[in-house]
Amino acid sequence: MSTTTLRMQETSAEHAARTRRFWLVMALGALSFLLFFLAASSFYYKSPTGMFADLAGWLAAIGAALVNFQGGFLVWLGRLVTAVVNIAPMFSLIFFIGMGYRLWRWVQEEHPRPASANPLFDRHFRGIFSELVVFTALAAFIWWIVGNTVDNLHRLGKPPGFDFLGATAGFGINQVLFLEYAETSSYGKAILVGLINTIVLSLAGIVLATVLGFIIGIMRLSSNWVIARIAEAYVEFFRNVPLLLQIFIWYNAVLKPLPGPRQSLVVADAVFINNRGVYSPKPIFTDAWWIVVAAFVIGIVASWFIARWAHRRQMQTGQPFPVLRTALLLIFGLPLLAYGLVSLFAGPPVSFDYPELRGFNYQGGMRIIPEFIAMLMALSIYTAAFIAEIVRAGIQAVPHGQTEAALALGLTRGQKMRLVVVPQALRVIIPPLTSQYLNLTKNSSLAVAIAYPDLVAVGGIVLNQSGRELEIIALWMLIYLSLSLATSAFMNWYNAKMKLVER
Amino acid sequence: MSTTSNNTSAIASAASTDELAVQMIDVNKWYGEFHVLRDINLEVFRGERIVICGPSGSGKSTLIRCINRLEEHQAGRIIVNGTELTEDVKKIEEIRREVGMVFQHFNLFPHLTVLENCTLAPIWVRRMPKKEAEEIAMHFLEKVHIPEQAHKYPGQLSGGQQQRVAIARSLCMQPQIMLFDEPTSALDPEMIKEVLEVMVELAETGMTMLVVTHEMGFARQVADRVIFMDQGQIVEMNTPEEFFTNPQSERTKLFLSQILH
Amino acid sequence: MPATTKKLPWQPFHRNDMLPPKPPPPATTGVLGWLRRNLFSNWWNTLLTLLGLWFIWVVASSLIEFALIKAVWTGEDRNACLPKDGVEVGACWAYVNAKFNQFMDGFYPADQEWRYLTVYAVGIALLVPLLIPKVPWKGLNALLLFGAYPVLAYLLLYGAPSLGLPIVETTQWGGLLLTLVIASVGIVISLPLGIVFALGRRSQLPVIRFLSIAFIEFWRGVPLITVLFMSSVMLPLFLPEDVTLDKVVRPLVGVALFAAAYMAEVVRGGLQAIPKGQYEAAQALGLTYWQMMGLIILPQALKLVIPGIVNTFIGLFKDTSLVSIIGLFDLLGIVQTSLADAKWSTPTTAPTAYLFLALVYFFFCYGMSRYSLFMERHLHTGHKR
Repeated sequence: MSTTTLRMQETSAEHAARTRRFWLVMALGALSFLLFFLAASSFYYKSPTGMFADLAGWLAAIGAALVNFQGGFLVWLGRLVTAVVNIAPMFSLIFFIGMGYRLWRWVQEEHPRPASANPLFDRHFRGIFSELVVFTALAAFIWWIVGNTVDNLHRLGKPPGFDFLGATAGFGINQVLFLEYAETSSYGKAILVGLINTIVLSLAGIVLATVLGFIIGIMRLSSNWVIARIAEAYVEFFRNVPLLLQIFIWYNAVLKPLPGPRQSLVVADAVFINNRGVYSPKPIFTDAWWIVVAAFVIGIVASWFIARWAHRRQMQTGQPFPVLRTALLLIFGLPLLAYGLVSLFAGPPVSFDYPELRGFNYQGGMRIIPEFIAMLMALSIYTAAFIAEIVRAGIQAVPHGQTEAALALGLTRGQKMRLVVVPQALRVIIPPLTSQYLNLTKNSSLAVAIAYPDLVAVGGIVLNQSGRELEIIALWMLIYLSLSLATSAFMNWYNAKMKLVER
Repeated sequence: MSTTSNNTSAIASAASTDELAVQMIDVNKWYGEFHVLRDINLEVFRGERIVICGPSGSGKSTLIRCINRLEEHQAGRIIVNGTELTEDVKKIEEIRREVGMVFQHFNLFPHLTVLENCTLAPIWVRRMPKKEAEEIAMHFLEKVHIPEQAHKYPGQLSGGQQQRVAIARSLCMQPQIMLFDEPTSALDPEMIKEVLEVMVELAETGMTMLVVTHEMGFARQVADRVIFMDQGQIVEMNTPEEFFTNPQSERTKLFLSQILH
Repeated sequence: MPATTKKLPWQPFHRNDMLPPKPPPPATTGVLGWLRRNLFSNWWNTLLTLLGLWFIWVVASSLIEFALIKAVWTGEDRNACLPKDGVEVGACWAYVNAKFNQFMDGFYPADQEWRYLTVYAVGIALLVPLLIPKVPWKGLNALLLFGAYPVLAYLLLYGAPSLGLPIVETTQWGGLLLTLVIASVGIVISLPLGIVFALGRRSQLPVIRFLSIAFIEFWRGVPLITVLFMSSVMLPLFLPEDVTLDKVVRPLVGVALFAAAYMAEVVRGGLQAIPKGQYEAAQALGLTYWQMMGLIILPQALKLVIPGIVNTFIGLFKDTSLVSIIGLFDLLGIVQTSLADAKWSTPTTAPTAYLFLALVYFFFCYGMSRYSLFMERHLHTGHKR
């Protein structure tokens, strides 16, 4: 029997039930709207009139923020965010409208069996009702908090807003990359410098931790008992000691006791290591340098094409081609060749500025600050312990039968790894590996403990100088959160793509 | 300590090495302290079909896994296709190319389609053009009656279908010898038949086959020789007719009475 | 006997006398065989073994030399640990000894030490039987530990003038005591909260699911240090003017919420691993949602994810060290502060202090991970998926 016939045969009792349901929903809807306005006006806007006045004011502010480009991008974004946050309660209206729609659908819905006469015992109704209660309570709680905060900030004389980002910073930063920064630069610029430092540290840490982690993970699977135990001891020790302590150990117990600049450790007469950091020659490029860079890029691009060509040729003729060797030759050989040619005809395309001891310190050259080294060592060694476990679990997750089948077909051990084990292990390894990368990035915020100028450390200075706790913390969270969400979006996509097809 | 009085090695000299696919001489193997293969002597002639049976733990799987060096023997000699198995990795790979193996649990590669499973080794080991490898793969997939599944993943197939793909995958390397390690033990009864049919058809082509199985019907139908193993040694070896109708040793009789009920 | 006419290239064979097992070749078994298989199977392996042994020797000998052989065990001040006749000394344990009380409890009044020692003793007495699977009365035990014990611990640690216990302000708490307080409160709050959010994330109701996801992803997406900054400077802003929050309670809120989000994801993993049949069976028995979850699903799911839960605990324990950045004197914070004491300023003070810290943290974290391994084996009851 189809539903249409059922509808045709609706009895008068059922019709009465539907009517009751309809009026119940209407009453509930009216009640929740009332609740919403009461909560919004009392907890957030403090009075109904204040609410409407505020709303109008902030809508105007959004409009103004949209067109006012003064003070740089961050300031503009900040203004926009502030304005949007201030009408936040209005966004919850969307929720109420959505709930209303669901209730309406519930009334309209054709049930295969008559709904319970008392809607309070109807599963569907109960679900919607409990959601309404939870959401209203939560919204009231959040408005209460936001209302308090706004009150407190006004009382303290610092109404929320990101305009302060345009003010002069007035402090120096000991590691500035890719940007021009001086004490006269703005707070916003300082934070950008911090963000770049975070990204640089994280990327370097990720590379190092991955290499180290894969080595340790493979060592743990070694058939050599001694090697496996060393790897196990590494993992157990570094996983079970707090990262912050490891950072302190590197910074205070390893790098600080290094000799002063005058007694520096010298490597190859060019690199000087002392308690103020590592000084190495700084390359100075001439205009002809681009030829070498171009040769390098050409090498990479050519290798890629050759790899594709070799694959296609092997698929067509069965003839293999030594791709790796050719690629290495191209990627390193071409730039060398270019370097040689340029040197021959136009003089060396790069010269080095060597660090020199002047007075009590080295001048010139390139300096890597000890804070960076300590952070990098601690982060990558700590994370490598976790990555090692992930790698081990991933390889062990490939059943032994797969290895046997590959070997029985006559594949070499290298082919077995490349074609059978690694593709299967990677599916297991990549998702947790990505989350370790994220962890490393978030953990780089511990830099504040030894004053490496990352996002949190620089933000902390700005926070102390400007007294803008709310804005700085919101900025931190926004940046880290968007990083995390972007990564997990990637992970979901990857998982969906790589999922093994099964019945 | 050897029992050469009734040892098969006596006849080893009789056959020329050309006719021999596999030759095992006084092979011994231990798992730790456990003596799993004891003084095994066996000659397999080209084109011969041998069924090996025996109670679990009798060493029959270990025996055939020694032939393609998935297990290492510790004493004695194993010569496959005229090449002796030693530590030499190149020789081991050479032998594995010529010896196909079908496992109890199929061991198909789950990340590759059926067709890719079949072409993987021909492309990378035999250095065959992809197109040719695919043609051969389709040929053998037809032989095992599932050409229509070529573009599915192993996880989408039934057990019997997976095992037939595994057989096709081995055949794509065009091996001279095929090893079957309990190919039907992990299958539901209705699927055993389809796999056995494929194996019978394969036997009719004259392939050298060593099959570890408890399917006595299969042994009767196609085997040239049946070997019964117990406690890591060959206990009885005879033609199927003789083996089933007139077993000689007490252990064989006991085993047959248990298995044929 | 049937006459075989076919000419066989082989002779039928049978044996009635079975070959006895022989011992394996001596080189493959025993200590020697083990060494050969695992350490010296070929030249490459031998090289690795020797390199590994050399590495172990270098690390172990220098560690033992520093921590034991050259160490200074007694002394009144830095003079004891300064290089003698130009020879550097090893670990300055005299310094740890002198500061030991501070490391253990911060600035807790000396005459009141018995109070937190009692809390430790009662805690151990309640926790140990709960952790040993064989001891009976688990229900009563848990009730005492999670119901009565927190009240007792609060009264003893903070004080109650009416009971004759003078109040010890939380600003005086520190060292290992503070670390343990933050970690255990965090653990006790985060587990139930995590379960609630895990259930919320798997709920059929879209709004509840969305709110749970938002909560979990928010806390997992930000670094703990920003959470701690937020709880220490922003919590006061969130509350009405006249309400003040204790300085120790603030980071506690942050740590607990942070850990709860991670816990929720661990528990969700367990919930997902329970076969659908278990839900269906529970519903078929007529259980309500909460009965089904409480009696059937959660016990199994939690059992499955014990390693993950303990890992979260370990992470939380290690993360308590971050409160030192926002100015609390937990174990790491107080040791770090004591390094500035000129009275003990020597070249080996910092390494000694860090070695001491590493040992303490390692003891707790490694202990927890061993226990989880033990429980994992003990509870291994099924669901192979």
